[in-house]
Amino acid sequence: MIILALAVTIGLIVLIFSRRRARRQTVSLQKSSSMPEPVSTPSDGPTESGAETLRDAVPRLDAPARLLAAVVSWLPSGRVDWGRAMLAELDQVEGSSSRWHFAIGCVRVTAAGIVRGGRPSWVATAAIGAVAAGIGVAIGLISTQLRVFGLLLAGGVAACAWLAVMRARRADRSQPAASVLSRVVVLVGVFGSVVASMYGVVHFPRAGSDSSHVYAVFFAAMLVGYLWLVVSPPTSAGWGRAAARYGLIATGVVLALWSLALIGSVLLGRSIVGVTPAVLVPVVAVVGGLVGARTRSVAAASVVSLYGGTVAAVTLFVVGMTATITNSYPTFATHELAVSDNLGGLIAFLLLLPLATVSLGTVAGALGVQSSSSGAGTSAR
Amino acid sequence: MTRERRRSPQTVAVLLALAVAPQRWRYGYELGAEVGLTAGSLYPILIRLTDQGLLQAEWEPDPAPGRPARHLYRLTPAGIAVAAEASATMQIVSDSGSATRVTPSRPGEASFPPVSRRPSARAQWGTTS
Repeated sequence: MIILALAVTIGLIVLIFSRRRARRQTVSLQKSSSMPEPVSTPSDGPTESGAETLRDAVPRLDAPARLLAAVVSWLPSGRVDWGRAMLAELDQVEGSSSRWHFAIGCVRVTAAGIVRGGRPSWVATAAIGAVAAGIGVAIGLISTQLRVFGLLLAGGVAACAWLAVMRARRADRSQPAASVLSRVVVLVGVFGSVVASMYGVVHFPRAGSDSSHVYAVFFAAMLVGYLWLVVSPPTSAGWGRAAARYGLIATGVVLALWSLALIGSVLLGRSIVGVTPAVLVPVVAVVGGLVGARTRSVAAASVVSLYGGTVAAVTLFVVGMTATITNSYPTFATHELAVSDNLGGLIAFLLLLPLATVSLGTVAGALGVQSSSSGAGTSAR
Repeated sequence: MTRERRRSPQTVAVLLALAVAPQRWRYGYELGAEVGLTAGSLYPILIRLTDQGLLQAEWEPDPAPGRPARHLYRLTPAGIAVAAEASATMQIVSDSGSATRVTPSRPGEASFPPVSRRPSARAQWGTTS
């Protein structure tokens, strides 16, 4: 299925970008024979600097400034002026070693300020702890086979919640997180995945036989990673406004494809849900490529592909497990075997699907950027 | 009943350096270089003094073109009073033969005797604030 998806993706990418390039060349030829028009500049396209960020306040963004800007962006709002003051002061410091020395000193101060000023209150911390403990205990009580999974998931949920509260209190929130739709879909998907896997393990005990706990650890790690991605994602430079906006499109595309698959299954009278991942991967990669071309940012393409892949994987898990559990099999043993096999496969897909979409989406994004730049260059000439 | 915490030698150094010309706005980096404190030691002091109302911090009104506006610092009246008190205490300690050396102020500039301008002030007083 992955090979099929790869082949389809590469074919689609080549087809789309060869047509885009051909169209650009035609347009540029038409332009050259008519009246001259204003040359488009890179700033004509959508940019990621919608709001002034702390990074914008630093003209000389070398490694020490980058480091300090990243740490300062976590300061609580009451201390953000001090962060800006340190960044502005760093701008005056000359010499690489002096700049590093100054930046590291400021990072030390800032980190202490973040921990003191940004941490959740004791009430919030206690509430997070109680909810996480409740999740762990509930999972452990429902199925003893899932105790390790429950424990790890509870710890991960607590860490994500704590991080999210800290994030909410930080001053620099100009770099947005995932879109609301992506957040809702992934949160519901994670919850659905936990419920579906618990149902499967409780009713088909063989599906929960994992003496080495490898699947439990991997499954919990993936779900926590998904939660982190939508609740408190990293704030790298590429994680910008455009990426979040187009991430919404990726989520919409994935959901639309699932809807089509379900409608198609009803109309055809047989399930075509199984082939959906083979379509999801290339479509998400192509969306990534288009975003790359539009924003001229490979990072934006990667982020879009990551969100698309994440949404695709988590929805695939819920749909796949539900379909396997509700399907009718000749014997309980075969049904149990199917649930066990599919549970393992779907857990693996939680990693494989985003990996495939990110890899292909990044390649497509790079092609899109290249195509867009060469197009701009041609039209400029 | 509130208990007044003893100020660290580094904090006193910053207070006294600012008290040399209380009306003059100072840059953080320049101040740190003057009293021999690194950014990691200086900023917590500046933040604490500002929180205590002893230091006034303002943004530079006319930054150099292409440069971000920097923070400027000077003592508030309460800060000047605390610096005077700290200076007097240091003078007493100095007179009684302490290792801490207080250098004479520049004529006509300082209200209080400033601390040593040598970068070794930190080594002289220890490393933490």
